Amino acid sequence: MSTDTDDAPFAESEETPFTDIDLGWEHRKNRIFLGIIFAASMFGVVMLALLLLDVVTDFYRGQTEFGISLIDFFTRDGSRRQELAGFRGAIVASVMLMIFTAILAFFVGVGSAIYLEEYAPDNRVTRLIEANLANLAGVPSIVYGLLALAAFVNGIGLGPILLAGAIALALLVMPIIIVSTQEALRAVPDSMRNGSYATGATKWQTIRGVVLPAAMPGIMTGTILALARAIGETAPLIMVGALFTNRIAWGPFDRFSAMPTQIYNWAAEPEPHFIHLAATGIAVLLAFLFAMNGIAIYLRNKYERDL
Amino acid sequence: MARNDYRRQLAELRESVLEMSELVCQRLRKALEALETKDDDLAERIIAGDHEINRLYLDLEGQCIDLFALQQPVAGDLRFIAASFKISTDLERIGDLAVNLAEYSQRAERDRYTEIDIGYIGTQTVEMVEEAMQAYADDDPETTRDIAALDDEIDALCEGASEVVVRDLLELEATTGVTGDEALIEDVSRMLLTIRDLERVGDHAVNIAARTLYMVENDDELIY
Amino acid sequence: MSTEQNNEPIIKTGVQNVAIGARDRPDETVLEATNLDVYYGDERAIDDVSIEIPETKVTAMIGPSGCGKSTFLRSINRMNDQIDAARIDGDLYFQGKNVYDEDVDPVALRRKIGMVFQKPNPFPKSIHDNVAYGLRVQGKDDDVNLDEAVERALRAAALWDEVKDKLDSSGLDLSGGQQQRLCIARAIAPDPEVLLMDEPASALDPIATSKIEDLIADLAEEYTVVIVTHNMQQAARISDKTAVFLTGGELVEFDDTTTIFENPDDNRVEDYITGKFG
Repeated sequence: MSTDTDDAPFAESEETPFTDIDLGWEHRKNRIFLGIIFAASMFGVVMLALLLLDVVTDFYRGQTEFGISLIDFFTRDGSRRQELAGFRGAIVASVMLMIFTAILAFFVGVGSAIYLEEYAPDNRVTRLIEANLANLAGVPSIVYGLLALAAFVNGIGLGPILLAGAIALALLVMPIIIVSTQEALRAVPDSMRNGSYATGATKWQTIRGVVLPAAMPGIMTGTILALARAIGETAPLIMVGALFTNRIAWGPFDRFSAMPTQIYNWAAEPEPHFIHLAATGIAVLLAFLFAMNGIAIYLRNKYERDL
Repeated sequence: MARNDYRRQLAELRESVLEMSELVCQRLRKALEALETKDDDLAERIIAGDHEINRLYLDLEGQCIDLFALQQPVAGDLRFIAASFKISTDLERIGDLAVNLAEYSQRAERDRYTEIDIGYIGTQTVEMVEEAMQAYADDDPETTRDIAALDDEIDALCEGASEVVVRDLLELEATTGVTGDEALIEDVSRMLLTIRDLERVGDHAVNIAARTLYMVENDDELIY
Repeated sequence: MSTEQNNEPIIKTGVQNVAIGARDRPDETVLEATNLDVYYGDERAIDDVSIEIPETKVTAMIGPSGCGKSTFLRSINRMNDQIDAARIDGDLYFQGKNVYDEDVDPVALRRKIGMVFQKPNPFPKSIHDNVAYGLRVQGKDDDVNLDEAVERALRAAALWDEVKDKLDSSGLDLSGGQQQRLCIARAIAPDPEVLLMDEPASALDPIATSKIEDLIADLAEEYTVVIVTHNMQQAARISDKTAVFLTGGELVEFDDTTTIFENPDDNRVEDYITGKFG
C-alpha cells in the first residue's frame, strides 16, 4: 500500500481537527502501567525458570560428576548404599498412590459435587456445606496427614501402609475435586438442561445423559490437576509414615515410600551423592507433574470449544 | 426456496388476477355481441352476472391486503402486489362498463348509425385489454408501450364516431327541424354513451399496461 | 359494487384459506387456559389469561418485552416448575386434562409437548445422538428403528440433506440456523402432540430465519405449534391465530392473525402493532 503524501489534500495544513486534543500524558500512563503489570507477570515465569535451571544443573551434575546411571536409577529401589540406591520403588508407590487416591477421591468428590450443584436445595445447610468445603481446601496438608495417622494408621490399626497414604491424599484433594467439579457443572449452560427436560427427560436422565458428558472434560481436568498436587505432597505422607524408602510396595497393604518422601529422605543425607540422587528424583517428579498438567491442558483445549 | 407459503400466495394472486381478466374480457365480448345482435337475454345475463366479477374483485382485494398486512412485501414483490391491486380495480371498472353496454343494447330500438362500426371499436378495445393482461402475465414491458400507442387510435376512432353522431343530429335539425323525438334522444345518448364507455375501456387497458410497466421495470412513464 | 347485496364484510380474507389447504377443518381445542395466573415471587407475570389454542395450527404470542408471553409458553409444559419462585393459579388443560393436577407428572407432560428454545441448545453429542436423545430417554428406542426415526425427524426439520453425510459429527459444529433445526428435529423425533417455540428465530440471521419460518408452516400440518415471537411481522407471516399480550401479563386480544393485523378489536392492540406503543 502506498502512502502518497503529495496527493493528500490536507497534508500542507498545520491545523488538523485534533490539534486541540493532547493525549501525551495519558498514553505515557498507559505505557507505565503496562510495564508494571508485565514485570509482575514475568516475575513468576523468571522464578520458575530459575527453579528449573537449578534442578537441571543438579541433575546434570548428578549425571556427570557423581556418575548416577539413569538405568540404575529407574531399575533399583532405595538403599542405604548410595551406589545401589534407585527410584523404582518410589515411582511404583507414587503411581499406585495416585490410582488409589483417584478412585477414592473421584467418586466421592464428583458425587458430592453433583448433589450440591444439581440436587441440593438452596438453603442454609447447603451453603454451610459449601463454605466448609471451601475451608477444607485451605487446610494445611499436614493436618490431613495427622488425621490419617490418628484415624487409620493407629485408630483402626492399618499401620503405615500405602492405602493409608492414599486415604490421606484423597481427603486432601477431595475439596479441590468437589469445587472444580462444581465449577464444571455450573459451566454447563442451563439451556442444555432445559433442552433435556423439555424433551421429556427425568432429572437423572438429564444429569447422566447431558450434564455429566458436557462437564466431563472440566471434571477430568480438575481431577488431574488435583492429583498433580497430590503427587508432590510430602507432609501427609511423612505423617502417615511413608518412610520405608528401601523397599518396593507391591500392593495397597504394603509399607511404602513415595517419590516426594524418597527425595526428602535423600536430601536429608549428608553425602553429596544422595543430594544429587534427590536432584535426579526431583527432575523425575517434575516430569510427572508436567505430564499431568499437560494432559489437563490438552483436555481443556480439546473440549472447551464445545461449551 | 425461502418463504414458500408467501411465494405460493404471490403465484395465486397472479393467477386470480388473470382469471378475473379472462372473465371480464369474456363479458365485454358478450356485451358487444349483445349490442350487435340486440339479444336481450344475453344482455340480461351479463347484467345479472356482474356480481360474480365484483366477488372476484373483493376476493382479490382481500388477497392483496392480506399480503400487505401479513407478509411485508418489498421491492419487486411490493410493486407486483401494488400493481395487481390497481389492475383489479381497472378490471372491475371494465366489468361495470360491460354491464353498461349490455344495458344500452336492451334500450336500443333502431339502427341509426350504420356508418359507425361499434363492433370494430369494441373488438379493438377488448384486444387492448387482453394484450395488457398478457403483458402482465408475461412481465413483458415492450407490449405495454404498444398498448399506450394503440389507445391514441381508439381515441381517434371514438372522436370520429362522436362527430358522426353530432353531425347527424345537426343535419337532422336543419333538414326536418325534428329534435324532440323521444326515440331520437334515446338513440343519440345511447350511441354517445356507448362510444364513451368503449373509449374508457381503452383507458383502463392503458392503466393496466402502465401498472404492468411499473411492476416490471419500476418505470412510471405510462402512469398519469 | 352496486349489485353486491349480501352482508359479507367488504374485505374478505382470501389468502390464508387458499394457501394452507390442510387447515380447513374446524378448530379443535387442544390447549385451554382458564383464568391462569403465574407469579414469580410476589410479581404477577401472567394475569388471568383464558385462551383456547386450536389443534394443528400455528398460534403466535406477541407483545412487548416482559409481557409474559414466554412465561405463558413455559407454563404450558410446566417448565416453570424449574424455577422455585414460580407459582401457578387457575387451570391449564391439555386435551381436557388439567396439567397442574397432582397426578400429572411434568416429565410425562413434556413427552407430549415438545419445546424449542430461543437460543439453539444442541447437546455436545453427535447429530444422530442429539435427535435420538428424546427417543432414548422416553424409552422409545426399542420400539422403532432408531436410524429411521432420526432420518424422519431430520427430514421433517428440513435438515437431512445438509447433515446426512455427517451424522456422527458433533451437533455443535453446525451453523446457528442448522443447530436450531437440529433442536427442532430433537423436539419432534419422539412425536409430541404440541410443539412450543420460544422465539426460535430471534438468534438467527434472516436466511436461517426464513428457513425456520417455512419449516413452521410445514410442521403445522402435523403438529399444533405455539410460537412466542417478539417479531410481530414474523407472527403475521407464519401464524393462523395471534394472541397479543401487553405489559402486566394480560392477554388483550386473541383472534385470527388476519383480524389482528388488519382489523384488531382493541385499541391497545392497534397501537401496539402500528408501533404507537411498546
